[in-house]
Amino acid sequence: MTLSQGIFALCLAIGAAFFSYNAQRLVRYLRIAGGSAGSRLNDIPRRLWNLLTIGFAQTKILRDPVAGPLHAMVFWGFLVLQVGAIEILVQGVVRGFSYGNFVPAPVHWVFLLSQELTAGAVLVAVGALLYRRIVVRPKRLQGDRVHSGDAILILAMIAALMITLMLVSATHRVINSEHPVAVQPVSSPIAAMIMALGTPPNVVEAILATSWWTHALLILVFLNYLPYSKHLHVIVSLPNTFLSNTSGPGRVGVMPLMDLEAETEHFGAADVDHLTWKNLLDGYTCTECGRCTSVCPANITGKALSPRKIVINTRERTMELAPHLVSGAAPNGDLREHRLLDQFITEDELWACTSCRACVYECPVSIDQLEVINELRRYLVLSESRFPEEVQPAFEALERNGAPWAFPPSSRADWAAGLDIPTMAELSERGESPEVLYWVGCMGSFDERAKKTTVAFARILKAAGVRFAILGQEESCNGDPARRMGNEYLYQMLAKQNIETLDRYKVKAIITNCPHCFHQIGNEYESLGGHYEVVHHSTYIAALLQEGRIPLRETAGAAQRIVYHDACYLGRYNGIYDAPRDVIRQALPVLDVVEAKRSKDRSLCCGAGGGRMWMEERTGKRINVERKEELAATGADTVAVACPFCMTMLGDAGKGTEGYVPVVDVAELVASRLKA
Amino acid sequence: MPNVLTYAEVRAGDLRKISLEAVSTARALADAYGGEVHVVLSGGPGVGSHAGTLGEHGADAVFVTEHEALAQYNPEALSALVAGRARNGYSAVLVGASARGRDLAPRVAAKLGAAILSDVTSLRREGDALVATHPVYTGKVLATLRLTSGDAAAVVSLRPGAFSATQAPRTARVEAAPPAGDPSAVRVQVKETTTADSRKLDLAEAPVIVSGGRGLKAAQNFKLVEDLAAAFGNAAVGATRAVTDDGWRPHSDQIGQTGRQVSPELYVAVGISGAIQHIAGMRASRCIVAINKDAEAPIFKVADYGIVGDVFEVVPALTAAIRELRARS
Repeated sequence: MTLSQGIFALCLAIGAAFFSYNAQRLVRYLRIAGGSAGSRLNDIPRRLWNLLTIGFAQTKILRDPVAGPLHAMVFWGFLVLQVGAIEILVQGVVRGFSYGNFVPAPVHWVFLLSQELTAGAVLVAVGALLYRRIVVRPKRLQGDRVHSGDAILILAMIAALMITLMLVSATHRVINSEHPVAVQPVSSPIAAMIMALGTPPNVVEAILATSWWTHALLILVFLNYLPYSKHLHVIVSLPNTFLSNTSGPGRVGVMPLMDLEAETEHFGAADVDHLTWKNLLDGYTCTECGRCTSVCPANITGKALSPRKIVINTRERTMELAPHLVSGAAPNGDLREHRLLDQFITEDELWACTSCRACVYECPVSIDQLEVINELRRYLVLSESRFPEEVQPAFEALERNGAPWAFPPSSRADWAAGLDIPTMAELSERGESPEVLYWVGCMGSFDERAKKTTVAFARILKAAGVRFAILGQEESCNGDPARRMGNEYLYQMLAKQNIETLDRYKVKAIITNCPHCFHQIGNEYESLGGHYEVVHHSTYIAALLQEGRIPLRETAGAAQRIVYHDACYLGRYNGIYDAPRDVIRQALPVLDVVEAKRSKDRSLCCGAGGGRMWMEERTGKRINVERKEELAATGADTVAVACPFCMTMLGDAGKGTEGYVPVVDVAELVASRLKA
Repeated sequence: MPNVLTYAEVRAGDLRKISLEAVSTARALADAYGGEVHVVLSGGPGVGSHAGTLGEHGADAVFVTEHEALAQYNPEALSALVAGRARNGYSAVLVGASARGRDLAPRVAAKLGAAILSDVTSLRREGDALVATHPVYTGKVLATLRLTSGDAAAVVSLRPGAFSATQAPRTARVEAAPPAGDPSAVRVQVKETTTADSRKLDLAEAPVIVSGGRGLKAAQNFKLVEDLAAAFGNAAVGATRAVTDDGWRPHSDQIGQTGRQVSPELYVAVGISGAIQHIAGMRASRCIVAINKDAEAPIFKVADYGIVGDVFEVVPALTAAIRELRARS
């Protein structure tokens, strides 16, 4: 073994040992988390699929038409260049090692070509990314005290790796041009240039040695720099995507059930050790790209919330607290008081969240920002009883009246007066059971505007000959407002009560026009033992229209331009985008369905979710106004919605102003064309 | 213990109406027991001048305690004073369930170790027992409370406006009574009392509320609502969330689920469409009148009377009509 081989072997060993030390340290930090993340190795096929699509195929990354392809280029380049990196590291110890020694020349040429093309492409992409960071400076890369210098350093390192790699190939080629020019399209011109300059052989040798050493050592430095920067992302993104539940397995957007009987000193989370290891891994994974924050309705309209900051704060606090906890020494009081809640993330940020899930949906590495927000909200409400004062009446009404407003349950079915709609109680007395239960929801029962949607849907059902019933005064709020506002105790009370009612009547099939009821009963009741087939009215009407069961008037009516606004709990939570649009198209033959700037999975929340319906919006622009302006900008005559909360928020925005665009529910569009 | 004790509330030098209601109620109760009505009248120097008015409403004896430190509400000194007097043997201690009385009554009850009936709307003697009505669930249910006699006087707080103040003239004995301890040596010192706007009626107390919504189109048009409220004489001005969000009115004026929840005798909704958030804050009103140009507006569903029309025509006409009516009566 030569001296240089010995030195390199030592470098390699030190690099590997140091990396291994850091890897173990970071894994130990994850163990401070006391919360349960559930099983993350269930449904392996689904997880592999996520890894393949979101991870390797970069589907989420590519949603950004500029930065997306550039990042994907660097990422795919990394994968391809790993093969070459291994060769180089081995070369350091085994002189003359080359894949060419083991495979036939054509195969080796394919390898060479792949490395050449990739290195060239990565270099171009890195150049573009550096230009973007330094010159263009897009808004989403600013704010939240992001580590921009760190990003530039890592891009520079990648560029240096590519340049040295090409210099190694080029000088090799000068010394011994054994490969065809075609398989070394990048390094062969460089080699030609070196030769044209008449570079003496000893200088060529020196360039080769310097480039090789720089490249090989940079690989080791790069590897060991990662654990100390936001670029830990490079190592943990793929595992995080595999371990995440944000795109399944299981039902997405479901809040974990809290064990209210647990012997614990805290409900919810006030600090990182109350969270789950997965939340902390999310912190490691974030590379501060800001896609989450750029789509956050609260952030867009000037509120304090930034989902990216939530994740960065989680990582910062983990790095601050975990070393003390894993060392076994009890952290002193000051360190304990410097907790995640209040010291890093304020109440204002937490209460600004509409739970719209845009951040979670957008994240290219499947981070769950919302889970941290929800857990901190739970702590505020359940452990410290801290929430905006205007929420108190809603909590009280939910508890006493089973609705977020203090309306008497006895008036729940007032909308059905004279419509001859049976209640479950009446049917069960006669020994009958309906085809489906129509779950009306609180808005549909008490809000005068929403009641019109309720009546419209009931008329459609009757016209289609659907045998349905309602619960009437036995219905209660599904609990979503309480749960999203952190009041899990109240939520479970309401949910259990509803499950009891539904099970008493042996209800299996439910239809509802409220996406919040739809998501709760269909997805979240499962963990409390409630299993129901819940269908949203948009899907149900679409199917009835498809089957020709709804008798519509032949008259075409006037041509209309309609823009449909996607509800978060229908779209991003449940993937229902087409059904409401189908309903609009089938119901009104002469119309133009247009799309807003942000639509479908990119839709902007109306501002009512996450309990925001019952809170004041004192800071920045009102979310509903922002959204309404965007919808009105399409030139539509009418805004169509499929959620009573969207209806009230968007209906309210711009009211009384010139050119006000009215808002209707998709059911109302269909009902307006019913025969007789 | 046939005698009944009451506390006369004086604020800013004026005897409050609830004090006379309490004395009249005490009179009726004392008559049922065959006893006397005694009143604790305390405040800054000069407060004793109200003794005559109390006598006109049926007080037999007025115990006057004048002290600088009692000029403002002084919970510690006042509860000691009332409790001290109550220990002289009374069947009941009546206090108005005003903001002050709601604070004072439980303090007195605790000091006496006595039972308390809070915020009652009727009170009578039935044999050895006191029977009271207490509205619960925002008045949807009336609870009847029966208090059997105990060793200590029962403390009862009376809902303002639920009892009438009637004349039962007599000349009350006026006795000066020393404060219990030094009223200025208390732990809680009231430094200052600030009132939001003395001209404005508090939304929670106003018998009439005139509220405006975005149908008024601009901040300056709120004058219509203010004029209508002024015409009533006893009306407060409210607003919807949209209006307070737009800065036409202060947030403290907002009526609704996330603002003030009110239940006046009369609620006039001007240019309000009736979002659920607003309805939730005013639907308990006794009588609701809605004025809106859109006949389909949800507010008409909860209104007892509705006027479909342009607020800019209807409201001035209504204001003029009410002014005329009030001028005539």
